[in-house]
Amino acid sequence: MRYFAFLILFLCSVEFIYAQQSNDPPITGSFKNITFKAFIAEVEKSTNLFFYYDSKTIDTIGVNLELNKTPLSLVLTKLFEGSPIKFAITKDNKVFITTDYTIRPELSSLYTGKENNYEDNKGLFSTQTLLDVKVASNSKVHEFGSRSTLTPNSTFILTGFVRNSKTGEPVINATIYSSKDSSITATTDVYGYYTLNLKGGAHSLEVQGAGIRDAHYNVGMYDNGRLDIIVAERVETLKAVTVSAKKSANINRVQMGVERLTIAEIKQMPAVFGEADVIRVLTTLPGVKTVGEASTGFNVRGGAADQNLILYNDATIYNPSHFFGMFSSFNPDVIKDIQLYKSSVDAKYGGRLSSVLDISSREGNKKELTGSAGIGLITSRLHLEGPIGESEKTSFTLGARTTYAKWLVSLLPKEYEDGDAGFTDFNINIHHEFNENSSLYFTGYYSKDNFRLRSDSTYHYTNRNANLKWKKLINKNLTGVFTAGVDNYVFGLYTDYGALNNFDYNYQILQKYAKADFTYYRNSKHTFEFGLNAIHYNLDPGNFKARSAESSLMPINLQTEKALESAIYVSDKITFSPQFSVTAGVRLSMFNVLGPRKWNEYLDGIPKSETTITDSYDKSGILKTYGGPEFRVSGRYAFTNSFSVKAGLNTSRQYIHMLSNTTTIAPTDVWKLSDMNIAPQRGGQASLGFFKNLRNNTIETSVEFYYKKMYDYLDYKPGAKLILNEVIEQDVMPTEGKAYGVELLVKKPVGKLNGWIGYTYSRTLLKMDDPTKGTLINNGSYYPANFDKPHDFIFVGNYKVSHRFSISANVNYSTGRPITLPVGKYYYNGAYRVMYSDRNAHRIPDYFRADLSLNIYGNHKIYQRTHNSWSIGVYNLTGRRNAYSVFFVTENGSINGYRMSIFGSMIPFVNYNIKF
Amino acid sequence: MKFIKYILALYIVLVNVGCKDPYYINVDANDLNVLVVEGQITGSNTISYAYLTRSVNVNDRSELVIEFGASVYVQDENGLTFELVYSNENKRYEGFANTEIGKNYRIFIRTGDGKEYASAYTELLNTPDIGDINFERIYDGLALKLNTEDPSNKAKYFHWTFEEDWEIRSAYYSTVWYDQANDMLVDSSMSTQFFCYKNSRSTSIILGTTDNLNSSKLVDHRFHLIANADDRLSVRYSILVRQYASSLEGYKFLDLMRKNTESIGSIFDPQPSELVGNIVCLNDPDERVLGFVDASIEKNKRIFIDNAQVENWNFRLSCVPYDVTVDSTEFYFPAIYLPYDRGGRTIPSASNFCVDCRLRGGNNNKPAFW
Repeated sequence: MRYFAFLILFLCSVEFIYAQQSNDPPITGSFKNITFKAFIAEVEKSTNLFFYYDSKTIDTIGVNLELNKTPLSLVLTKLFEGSPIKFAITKDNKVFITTDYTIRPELSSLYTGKENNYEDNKGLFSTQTLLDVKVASNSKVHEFGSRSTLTPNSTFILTGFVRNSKTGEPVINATIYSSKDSSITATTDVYGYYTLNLKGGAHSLEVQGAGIRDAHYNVGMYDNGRLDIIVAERVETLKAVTVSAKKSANINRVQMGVERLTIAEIKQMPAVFGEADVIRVLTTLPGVKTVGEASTGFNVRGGAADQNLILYNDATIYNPSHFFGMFSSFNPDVIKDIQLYKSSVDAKYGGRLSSVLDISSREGNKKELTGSAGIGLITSRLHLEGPIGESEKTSFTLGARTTYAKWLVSLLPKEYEDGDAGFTDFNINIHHEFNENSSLYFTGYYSKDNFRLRSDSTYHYTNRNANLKWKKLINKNLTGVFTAGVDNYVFGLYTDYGALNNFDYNYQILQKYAKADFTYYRNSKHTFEFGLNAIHYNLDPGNFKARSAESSLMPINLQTEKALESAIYVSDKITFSPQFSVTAGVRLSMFNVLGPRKWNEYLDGIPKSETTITDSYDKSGILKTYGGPEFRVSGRYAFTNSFSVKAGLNTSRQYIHMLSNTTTIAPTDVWKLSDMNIAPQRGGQASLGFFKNLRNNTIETSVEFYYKKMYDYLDYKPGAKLILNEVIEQDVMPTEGKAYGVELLVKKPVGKLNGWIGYTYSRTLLKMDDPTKGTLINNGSYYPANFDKPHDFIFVGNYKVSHRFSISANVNYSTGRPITLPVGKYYYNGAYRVMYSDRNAHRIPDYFRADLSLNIYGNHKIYQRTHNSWSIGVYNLTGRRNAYSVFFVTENGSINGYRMSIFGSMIPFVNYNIKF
Repeated sequence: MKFIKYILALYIVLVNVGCKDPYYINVDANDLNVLVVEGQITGSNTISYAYLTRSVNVNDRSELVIEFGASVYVQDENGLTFELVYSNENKRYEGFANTEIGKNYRIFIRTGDGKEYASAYTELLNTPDIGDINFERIYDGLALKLNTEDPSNKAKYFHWTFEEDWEIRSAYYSTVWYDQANDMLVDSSMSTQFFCYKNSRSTSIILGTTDNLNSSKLVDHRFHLIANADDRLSVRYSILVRQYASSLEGYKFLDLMRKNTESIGSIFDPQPSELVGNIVCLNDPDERVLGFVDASIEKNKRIFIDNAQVENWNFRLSCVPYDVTVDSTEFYFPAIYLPYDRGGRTIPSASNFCVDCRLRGGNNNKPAFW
């Protein structure tokens, strides 16, 4: 039956004329946000139809339709759905609109059993099918309370969920706003929940979001109300997409520097080996950089790679990469979207200085079992989702991904050819809805990597995460989310040199956390967010032992580090006027170093070393407390509907540091908690942005400025030993940093041709000028950080040639990253050696890369067993050997300089994806 | 499945992932001209030395810049001094210093332009004897390993240098000498073309420690690898290993130098960092001086390895034998071929380096200990 309906709608409108012998003229045209009266006028103009109606009857009906030979009866049925309005069409092209009763045109016997007919039609054309003919609106007026009790100047709260009509999943970050005043706006949270403050009276609301069709609702607010909004997925449309009028979320959002990408956007971009990469895509956004190809670590506005908090459904992922950082460890099929806070970070987040990357997974289809599978050159993926039980209350999502194995390594430079590598990741999410006010979410995540370089050392690392989240709508104004979970990150290294020297080294972070986050919608002026959270850290910072009994290697077991990080926060989103709103928040964070622990006390005023120890302790309890307020303030002033200015001020503290003296995140980088001798990092950012939308909001432009300071960021003394060092404080020294930049972005989010062009000028400079802490770097003057790339240009474009074929391209140019080049050479120990001077005083050659991919989709019949698509492309189209690093090495007594590239040619790829 | 494998193999061939290209820098470094001091104070019966050189531009292809004309002394804390004098042969300042284990010593330098430099005082450490030196045939070549043990557990850090000497032989023993000036063959037993000797010194920094071990014994510590088919083992090979105990600072200095200059360039290697030694300029403490002077007794040991002791060494000279006609001698000798026999109408010859081992870098100075 479904199939039949589909046929009728898509293939031949002729069927309709046949099916309905009466006069049911097809209507074609785009009717966007107009009154019914105007709609009638349009229709009368283009057809020979004539409408009879009473203006009072229809004045609450709005029309927002895209029609293509849609029968009039269908259009009217949809428009009047849920209202007492009826209609009749006569053979002589007259249309009668009436209230409560239906006119029966004498000549039309077919319409005598009309009510029944329409029942049939409803069955035949379910919501879904109607949406497929692009009836994206709902003209019914949803009234709350009674019109008669309305008092002037009263305001009410409208709340509810926005859900996907097909899967029942929540729609995140959908915007609901009044069509009259786009400053009255609400955005759905990760559960699809929204709260909107409306003045008493009638409103028409627009619902927009990525991946969904725009929807239109009419409400009459005479009391607080709840409206669950069901929206349709944006299916590949068969006609050119007409852009609706008000894509102005970027103008209205109070926050700035928040970047959001849906998985659909991520997947259409060309990626290395065709693996859609959730994190790598971020580096195409202004203000986000990476030091090179083999690094999933990224740098946000001059922050270090360890200053990004990476959350997967609230679980902290310490190592988000696979295979030397060439891939991110998130299965694209289970990810719903990613959100990066690079400037205004919500007060509820904390613990990292520069950004928060929030990755949300799919919630699972509550209605039927579906899934997808992908076959690429490097990995295979599978994902399944569906309901558990019959009730449509519980759903699950499962995802798994694995590599084909060894041949991966043959792609690496020759000296690694004896290596071996493999990785896998696994996700499970379960969602259960107790009732409309209470839901439970479970997230499980596992990723494992192991690889062997140069045949004798095997590296491995594993992320394990699990959490449980309970979301409760406590009352109309107050929502609470309670989360508890465990994060575990383990890495290690073992060798195969020979029985005498073989060792096994392991490192582990175990953190348990709990948090409660509340949102309180006080009134149209104030929305409060508040809550508290705590993380208990338990680090096992190094465990080294021989692998065989005959070895004389001494076991090393660094003492456990324990600490408690806790915070309370409150923020208020204050709407002073439709133009002006401010979010002001404060977060009080506290860090307690917990014993038992041994530590040294050092002399003040000279660098810490073995010889400056004054005392040693071994104590339990709370050994040291750090903490303080962090301020999160941002504001927006909208001069017009398409132009706004935003500003923000953020400060934060970071109590856990990654120790790394390599340029990229290495698999053996250890994390260290602040302790008696290592102070937390502190940072602050001020930013200012101008946002202007052009051409009816179809083009978004922005200019953002930022200035950032960092304190107590760790650098390393020459020859620092970062692994298995019991007195690491003697090898590190605190530095100071500043970063500033301007980011320009022109984005066309929708249309046949979509994409963005971004240019960033930015600098990141560090300074170590305190001789009491260690050796001065570059004589105490500012020097560029490893990821300081002043000029950065990005083009990302996607062109839909047809519904089955699209082309995507990326172009990326940036200044080469700084390196320390030799300034001279000297002869020592029998060979010439290079002498280094000022740190990062030179740069590797500039980076340029262009990628291209073609996406070919199977047919777009909605009701078929599987949907499949191919993605074929070339990464690094020009084959440019972008330098990853430049280094000089003494080999057989002489100095040789080399430039190392990760990709030395263009890399073609092909990926086959299937959805079922 | 075979098809898939084939496709993947093709893909790997097409995709050139990860590559190293030579890189030449174009840095206009101002001539830093830093004094570089590499010194070792040893016991009274071995040579104490200091190499004094100057750093040069990276692209500088000229000879090593030696700091001539300096006065160099080993000093103890009581003002006792022993002079080190420049040796043309070893290109360093050297001499015997009458030192005692446990006392502190330094090297003091007064350069020709009157500047004074000194290393930090360091305690003269005793160095345990070198135990057995073994070798093992491994896939990559021949690994040389040594053993040492300090029962007192005082010496925990070690530094080694070595000198290698080896004999090479030509593929053909020639009974004629080609007189190039007169274009004629002279009967002669050309043993100078047949037996040659080569030598070299260690060029990489060799370190070891027992600090991470639960004993004071270093067992089978690999200090050298002779690559497969190297001519070192074509006939007979000898290595003299010198062992020095290092101070922790000296060890760290060399280890950092090794990391900065030898083991660098993989994806995860640390960035180069600044080397801080133990030498200062007494006139100007801000002047950059590079280097380290350590003090410890030298212990050394020599071993010999014959080709026969090593399995499948597979050293081969790819020789092209050729019969040179009498009228073409001037053309072929000695640039391409060399004769090994008088012959008749044609002269039995072969690629010149197969006849004259001196063309392979050898010399005729047979070491005294051979």
